[in-house]
Amino acid sequence: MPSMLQALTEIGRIRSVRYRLSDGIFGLLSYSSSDKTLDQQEEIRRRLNQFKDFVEYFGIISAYENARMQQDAKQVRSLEGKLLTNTDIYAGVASIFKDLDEREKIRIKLSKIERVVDSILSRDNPTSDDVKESLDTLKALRKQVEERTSEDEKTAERMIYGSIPTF
Amino acid sequence: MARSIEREKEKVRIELKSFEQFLKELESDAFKADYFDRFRQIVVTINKAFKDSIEKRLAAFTTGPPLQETSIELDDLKSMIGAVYNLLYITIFKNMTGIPREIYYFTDTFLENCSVSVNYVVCLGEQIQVTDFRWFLLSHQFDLKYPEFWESIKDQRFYFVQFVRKLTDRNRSLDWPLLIHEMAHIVDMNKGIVSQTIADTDYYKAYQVLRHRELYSDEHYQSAKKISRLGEYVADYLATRYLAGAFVWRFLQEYLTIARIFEEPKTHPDLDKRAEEMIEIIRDQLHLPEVSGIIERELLVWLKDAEKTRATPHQREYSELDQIFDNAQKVMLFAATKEAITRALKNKLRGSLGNKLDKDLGEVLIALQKDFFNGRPIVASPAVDFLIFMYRVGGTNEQTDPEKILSAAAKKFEMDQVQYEELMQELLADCIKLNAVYERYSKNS
Repeated sequence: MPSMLQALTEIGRIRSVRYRLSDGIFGLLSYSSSDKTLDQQEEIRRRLNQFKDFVEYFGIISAYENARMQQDAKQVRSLEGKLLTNTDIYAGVASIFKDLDEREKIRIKLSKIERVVDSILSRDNPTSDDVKESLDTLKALRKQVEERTSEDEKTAERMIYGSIPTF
Repeated sequence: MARSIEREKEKVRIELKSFEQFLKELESDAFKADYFDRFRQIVVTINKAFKDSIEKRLAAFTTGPPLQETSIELDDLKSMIGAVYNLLYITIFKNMTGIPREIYYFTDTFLENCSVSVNYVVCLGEQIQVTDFRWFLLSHQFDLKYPEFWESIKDQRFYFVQFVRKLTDRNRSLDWPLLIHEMAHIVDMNKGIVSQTIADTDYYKAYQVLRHRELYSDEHYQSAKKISRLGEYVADYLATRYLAGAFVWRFLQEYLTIARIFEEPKTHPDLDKRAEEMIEIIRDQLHLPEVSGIIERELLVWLKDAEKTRATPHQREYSELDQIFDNAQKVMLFAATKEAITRALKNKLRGSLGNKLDKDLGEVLIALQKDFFNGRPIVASPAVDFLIFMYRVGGTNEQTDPEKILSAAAKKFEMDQVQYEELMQELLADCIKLNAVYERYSKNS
């Protein structure tokens, strides 16, 4: 594969996960601020919706793996179509959280956070404990992502700006 | 607190100021050549898009979240802007210098021939490859993280065409047809040649699938491989129609040297399958059986070296190629058919040589090759000049064997053959440039 593309797909898979977790953190931290402009309110909604799309991927990946194990070709094809809408996120989630049990646990945690996000989006204020717990989880996850990907990200950057040949 | 956020936002604005400085540097005399204009144009566009959108982006950050978190967000934004700056800066100051002007004459002429008008730069890299600037922006998540900028830039077509240092020199102009293959990828992406036949042709996505085979079903993996490979076949097709056999000829001769920097089995079809397709195009569509014969001989040498046998009859890898080649054919204004080459030469040749054209093109090419190797080139379209250089009739006749003609000419000019051949390649580069200038003037006069 051309080295530039190889590096860009690396950057894409890493940042798509890290930035989507940041979307959740940003939205949860910002929604309760007072004196928000309309643009700022819209931005919070946009970021929270991006986060929801990201969480949905965990569900799709999980269903996809089940369908593959059960050799359900029709379901595999349908779910794969959904996964292909954003190959960066799929590659990112699957490669950063390789262990299936770990990924399932994260999926459950994120689904819980999604409910908090849903209540914000439907203008029902969640409890501050729920928000705090969600934030703690997301920040811990983001830290984990950073730890697991920082070397790969640096390598990809070196490939783009030209100092080492290829992976 | 609000003041601290303001300070963080100011850091992002400062990051943007580097683009202003960059533009000032580009005004220096070192970058006055016209091919830097296209680069300057993209820096101007990017700078404007950043300037027009940055305040809106910064205004999206409320004072609610703790400074530490806003700082992370603004740092991400700063690093994205920095990434664009770094890419562009390195491209011009490190990678664009040393690209001879003749290469742009060559690549521009090809794009014009395909009626494609896009911005691109040729720069040095470790591989021969082409990258769409939008892939860079998408991978850095500009579409989701900085949508105002993405909206204003997403329709900009700008490509980085990377070529390796050692092939860039004027005395390596015989290798330049490899660049035409890369330029052909740009044509495909802009004219939608593969996507007219295969739905959802997204090369970036296909590469992502190929890179993570274990994540996808075999069906999708094969589909991504097919998209990627069809793109390669199309690039071969366009390069072959434009340059007759020069691309595949050089490709086969230099394959072992360039394979590492040019090829990848996941994304590229087997060399022999590609060569067979090109042989067919040269023989059946360009009506140049002597040239397809030259390529066949090169292929047989390569197969022998690779300890492979020729698969006959040639089986086309994908049935869709018929349709896709048909799509590709329609975008080209000039194709190096025997008729077109004869016509091009008739416009240049007078006297007995001109009269021989209809009877024996091969004999004329040999005579022109002899002239070329003695420092008297004919300035014609690149296809004709490359054909003159590569033409072989087989056998070891002193009058027709290019190696012997070259060797005799080198002796005459008291140079060793390698040195002399390099000089001839410089002459070829000159011809490419002169022809492009001539074409430009004749169009405008």
